[in-house]
Amino acid sequence: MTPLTSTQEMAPRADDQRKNGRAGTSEVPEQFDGKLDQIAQLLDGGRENDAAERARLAVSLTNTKDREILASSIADRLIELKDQLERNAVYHHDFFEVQPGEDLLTHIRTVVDERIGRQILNEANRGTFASSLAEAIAHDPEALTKIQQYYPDFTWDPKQGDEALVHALEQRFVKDFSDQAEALKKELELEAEVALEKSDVLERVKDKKGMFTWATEKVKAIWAKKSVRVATYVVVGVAATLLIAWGASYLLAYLQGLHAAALEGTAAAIEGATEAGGALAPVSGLEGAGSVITGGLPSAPPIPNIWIGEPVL
Amino acid sequence: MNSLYLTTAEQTLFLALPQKIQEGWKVEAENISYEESEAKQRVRCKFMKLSPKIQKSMSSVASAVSPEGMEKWVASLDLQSLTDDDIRELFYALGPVSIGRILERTIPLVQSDTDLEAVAAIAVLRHVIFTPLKK
Repeated sequence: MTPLTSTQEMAPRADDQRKNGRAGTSEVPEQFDGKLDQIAQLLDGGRENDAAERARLAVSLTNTKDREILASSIADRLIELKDQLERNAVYHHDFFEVQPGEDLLTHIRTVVDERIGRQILNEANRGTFASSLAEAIAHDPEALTKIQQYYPDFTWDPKQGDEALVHALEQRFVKDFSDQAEALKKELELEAEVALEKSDVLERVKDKKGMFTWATEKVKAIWAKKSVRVATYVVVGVAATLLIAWGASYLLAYLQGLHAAALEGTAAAIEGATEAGGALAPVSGLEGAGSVITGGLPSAPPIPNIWIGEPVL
Repeated sequence: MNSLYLTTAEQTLFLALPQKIQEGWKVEAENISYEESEAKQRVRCKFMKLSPKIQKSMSSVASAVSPEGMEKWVASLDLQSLTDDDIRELFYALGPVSIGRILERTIPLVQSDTDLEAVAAIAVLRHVIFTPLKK
């Protein structure tokens, strides 16, 4: 098969950048809209002609979970290149200007995720994006095998030539991206709902400032005494919330296995110490974890269902 | 502050505690109506904004690749240094159902007034954060 070249994406190539007198930034696209060419250029450090790498990236971009992990890698790469990229006004404004108190990496991850999401959410972008992925994948047997694993029902007529394969892939991705766009739309609606609720929470706390301050002082005091059994459950809840916050968007798959095993093992150890009448080990902070995590939903997957059970309190 | 904002199920657990421990506390019915879902909790967690010190702890979570690593990471969290804003963010992210789960687990463990104050504080945080303002 002869590698096809994407004609849809307009990201400048490394040599164009050198022509523009931007030596030293040759591996960086002039802007980042979440397109395949730009991602390959950014992550590849100028090896964007590496078809296998490009195909691998294209496969990652076909599904939501891999896309999130990829977005995280891109964010890490942008941080690595921060000094260099900040000189570019577009990058500076879009990626490196953060609100006071806002975490830079989290901000960049969000922007990257959103940019890639736009290629799928926006109907006008979707076809072009699908086409670039299809072209990259069609010419790499390994990537094609992956796609066949992802979509066992995917078929095309090999007798019709390479173009038929590209077309079939493109059609499949467009259909899939339409479904993903629907899901993303729901997610965005949920985000809007939570943002609104969160601003209400600020008002509620202001309204009951006295009660709130009393409670926060008590909570801080119990955390100071890890020997208080009650505190350990709260610590577990909070720690797990931090893990979800960190892992839900970017490393959920990685954390899913780790989380349950870690908590169950620790809980068993702590339970033994408690039954023996010993003091709770202040070092772990995970006392009672097994009860909280697995007590309610023993057969549920670890992270998504840690506490959620009843729809209404 | 001697009010305990508890759901019906939590009140049952409280009433099973020794009478001596119950003395001096006034039980208020907690009637928060909140539609919870896995997706919503994820979004709340995603929107959590924490102070730099806690954010820094997050960057080291990647070292928790084993049960031991996980324990060390949790132990390294300096929860006493949380600000009031951090606590608001964390408890909002936890959500009323998860907080309820924590309360259901902790109420039967109560052995002293100090324990009960902790329970009361958690319940108050839930009450303040998840009770809509009257308009």
